[in-house]
Amino acid sequence: MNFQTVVDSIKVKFSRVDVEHEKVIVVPASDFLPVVDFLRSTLQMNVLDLLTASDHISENQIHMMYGFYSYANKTYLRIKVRLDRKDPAMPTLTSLWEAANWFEREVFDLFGVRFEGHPDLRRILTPPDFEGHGLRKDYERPGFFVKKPDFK
Amino acid sequence: MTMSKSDQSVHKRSVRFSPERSLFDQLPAETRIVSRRVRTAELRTEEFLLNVGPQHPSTHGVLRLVVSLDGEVITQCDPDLGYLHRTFEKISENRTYQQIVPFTDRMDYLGSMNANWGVAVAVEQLAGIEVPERAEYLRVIVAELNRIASHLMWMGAFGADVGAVTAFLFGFREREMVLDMFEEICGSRLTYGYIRVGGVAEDITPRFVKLAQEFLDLLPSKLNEYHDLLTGNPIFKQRTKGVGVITLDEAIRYGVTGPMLRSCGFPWDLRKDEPYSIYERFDFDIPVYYDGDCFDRYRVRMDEIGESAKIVRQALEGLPEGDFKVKKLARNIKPPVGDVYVRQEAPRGEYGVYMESDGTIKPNRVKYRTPSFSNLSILALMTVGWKIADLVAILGSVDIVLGDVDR
Repeated sequence: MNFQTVVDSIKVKFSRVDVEHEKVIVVPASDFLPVVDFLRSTLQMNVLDLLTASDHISENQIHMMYGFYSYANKTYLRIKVRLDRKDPAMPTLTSLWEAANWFEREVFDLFGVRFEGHPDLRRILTPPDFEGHGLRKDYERPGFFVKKPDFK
Repeated sequence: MTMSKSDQSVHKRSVRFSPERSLFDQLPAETRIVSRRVRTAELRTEEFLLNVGPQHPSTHGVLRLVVSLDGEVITQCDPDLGYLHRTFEKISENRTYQQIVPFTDRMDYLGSMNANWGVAVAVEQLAGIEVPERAEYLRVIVAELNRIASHLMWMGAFGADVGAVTAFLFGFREREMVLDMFEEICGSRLTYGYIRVGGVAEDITPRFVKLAQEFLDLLPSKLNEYHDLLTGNPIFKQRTKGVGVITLDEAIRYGVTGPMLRSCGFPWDLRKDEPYSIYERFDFDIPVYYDGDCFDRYRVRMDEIGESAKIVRQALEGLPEGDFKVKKLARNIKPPVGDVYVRQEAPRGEYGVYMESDGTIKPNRVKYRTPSFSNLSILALMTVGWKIADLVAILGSVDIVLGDVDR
């Protein structure tokens, strides 16, 4: 089963899915859980391999990037979900894969994406009292250097 | 109110001990071990909250574990990460593509060659750079040697974890030979930066080949020595056999890869199943064991040492003449807009590099999907129900590198 057959079988069921390039499909956030369910049950994609995000400040978007893999068919599919940069939220995948638990905590920690239904959404890499989300492009490191006084 | 003699502490300070509060409760909060009393109907037991680390030799770095104990039995284990979080993903966004490579050394510092390789391949795929064949061979040679060194180091540390300190010395003795080879080709013994975008840093020298041949000739007898020392050792077996068992289904759900997955009876290896670079030219086997316990994880890694040695031998024999790096490479690579995800088999499991280019000289986003991070996430499941003494054995068998977990 190659990438094209996977995409075709998804497109039959979900019309709003776009192909970005030869490895990635773009799924609207509302269709995300049904698509993942379909991947898991019908296409035997039983591994959640990648879960990350990237900040696109010029488009005012955060792109979620999911990687699913099937050990049986040896097919890899990446799913991109575009989220609004203000208060981004995704449904959690922890009920399907335990691997999602730490991945989602990491994305929450560094990008501030809320995962609805996550059982334990705490910061994982930065300390609990850390302010802001480090991998956002507009994150500013708090006062390591003292600000110069404004002489006027 | 008069003070009786018993109310004075040894430091002659007047203190009164009320009958309800014990001396233990009067210690300052930060110095006392937190304990919570749980009253059952008849038997009074205590759930004990034990803090392991972050500075603890058995956590292999700076990992903190908050362990709840019922007597000796672990009821809950919550790993606390981030003590070694050096924001490499953020740093990578602010460096040019070639400048990223040395930072990856510091992530998985026991498998640096593999860490370099993933990033180099990601950039090459983004920018469409074709690597000379000799460079591919050299990459395979150093990556497999690094896998041997990493597994030897792991064997030593794991032996020390379960009380066999001799294994530590044995493992380091042979690892030293690999480090000598790496020192010969790149001048560095821990953070190599040898595999770079477009090839490797330096060509190998005749002395490297001689050292490698000596090492490969010596390795089988040394492997027998390790097997004599550990594999047949009844104490070692008792500490590891049947301890920390995970099933294949659990391993897949938690995203566990590498030797831990192969110890659950699933012969999965990216080098074999999705061959990258030139791995399909070599003849080697994927060791697999079926119990999913600490002992099988040990067996898988020990067998992998032999298989890696096979690959190195074949690669040295088939090493073609030619360039070891791309002749002309721009100082600042500007790949077209796009993203790429590269997966490779590092010593600890699947190492993935996700890289997004926005058309400038710096990447928009780099994500390192490191094997230790995913493999550690199953620790909470693996340890529950085992004795506290097994915690160190189970944690050791995961083979974590905290630089790889926290990044």
